[in-house]
Amino acid sequence: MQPGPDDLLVRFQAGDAAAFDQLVSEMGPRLKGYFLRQGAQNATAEDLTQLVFVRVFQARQRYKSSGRLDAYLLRIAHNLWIDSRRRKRFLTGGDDLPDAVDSSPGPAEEAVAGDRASVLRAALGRLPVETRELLELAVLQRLPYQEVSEILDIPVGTVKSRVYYSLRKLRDKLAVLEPEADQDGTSSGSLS
Amino acid sequence: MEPRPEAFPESLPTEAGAEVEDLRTLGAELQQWANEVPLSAGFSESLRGRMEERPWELRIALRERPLLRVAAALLVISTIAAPVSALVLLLPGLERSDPMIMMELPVQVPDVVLEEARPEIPAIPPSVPGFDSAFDADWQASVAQSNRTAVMQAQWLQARSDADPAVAAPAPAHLEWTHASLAELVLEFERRALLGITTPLPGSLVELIESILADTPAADCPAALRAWHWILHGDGPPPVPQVF
Repeated sequence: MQPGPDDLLVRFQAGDAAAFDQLVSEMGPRLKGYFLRQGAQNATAEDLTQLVFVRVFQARQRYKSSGRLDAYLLRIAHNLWIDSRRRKRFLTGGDDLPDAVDSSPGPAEEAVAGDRASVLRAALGRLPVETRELLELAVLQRLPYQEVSEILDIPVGTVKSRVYYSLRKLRDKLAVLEPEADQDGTSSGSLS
Repeated sequence: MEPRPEAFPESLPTEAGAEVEDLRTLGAELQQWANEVPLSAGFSESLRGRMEERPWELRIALRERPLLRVAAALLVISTIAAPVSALVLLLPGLERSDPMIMMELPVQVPDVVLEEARPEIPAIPPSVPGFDSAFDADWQASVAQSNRTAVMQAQWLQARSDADPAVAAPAPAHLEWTHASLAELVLEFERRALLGITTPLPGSLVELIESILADTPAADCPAALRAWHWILHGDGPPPVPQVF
């Protein structure tokens, strides 16, 4: 999603109402995926995704296209996620509890289930929050390191090195999880 | 020309060799796996409803809620009041009158009553339930004797204002006074007066004083012994004019 004439928000500012609907349909699923992979439940992920668009809508007059629109939206999403976690910690007296009772299998159970996607999800789930978010923005969301650096408020060089070490860490987690899945006899695929 | 923005996977460290390829593959797999999650059916409808909600604004809230207006006004007044009043006080035009502290000296001199003798100060025992026996007649006699000692010592100190306190020995001259001389008795009186000792006299000293007083005519008796006589017996009011 490049800046300039194709920037949907610029088009929306110019009066193209359909551009906002297009923005929601293009970025909504990505944002929801971001929140889900950060650990939000489905309802919370949708709620936060809507909040991102509400914030964008409210600030539409102040928006200036100076970078990638997806980075702009992900920055809002990142801040909303931090606020959400902080509010939840405050309400639960410091415990980072899940949003609600989660009926889906946890990371360990998913790994045992053997599906490759489940193993990846489980491995990501076992990473520290900061590492997970870095991989999410830099690898999964494919943002340039400069944008990741601004969102996470760390130097670009640090982003580079952390991506490298985070991938190594993820690979190590996968190496631990995959034998468990193999023992269950349902493992498939390989990493390298 | 703007520099090309760096992004995964181009910038992985090249010195890592084969491992980089390994990590690139893992990253690519992650990107492939991270499919976009479909939104629920009512997402757009719900989003439209939320966007139509008017965002909270202070100006609008102040217009619509009188209590908030009052609270805001109080906040503003309390914030501004202190610095403004301090500024007003600092203005040079305002002359401040320092409060004047007045006091009136008493012009009436209290009447001095000249009496023939000092009044006797009675010893009033305290009322302590369960300890009545501790404040019996002996106690009262002991207190009265201490008071008389203080009166006599005051007279002596008044007459001998040039007395050197250093001559007062820190400990009693004798523990046993049976064979003490007259000069030693006088010295003991002075020592006690200088140190302000008003406790009752030891038994041997009392016996010696009584025997000397019995054998010596009053005119030849030293002032210190006459004072002790009055201290021990308290015959009448304190001797005025002074003994010393």
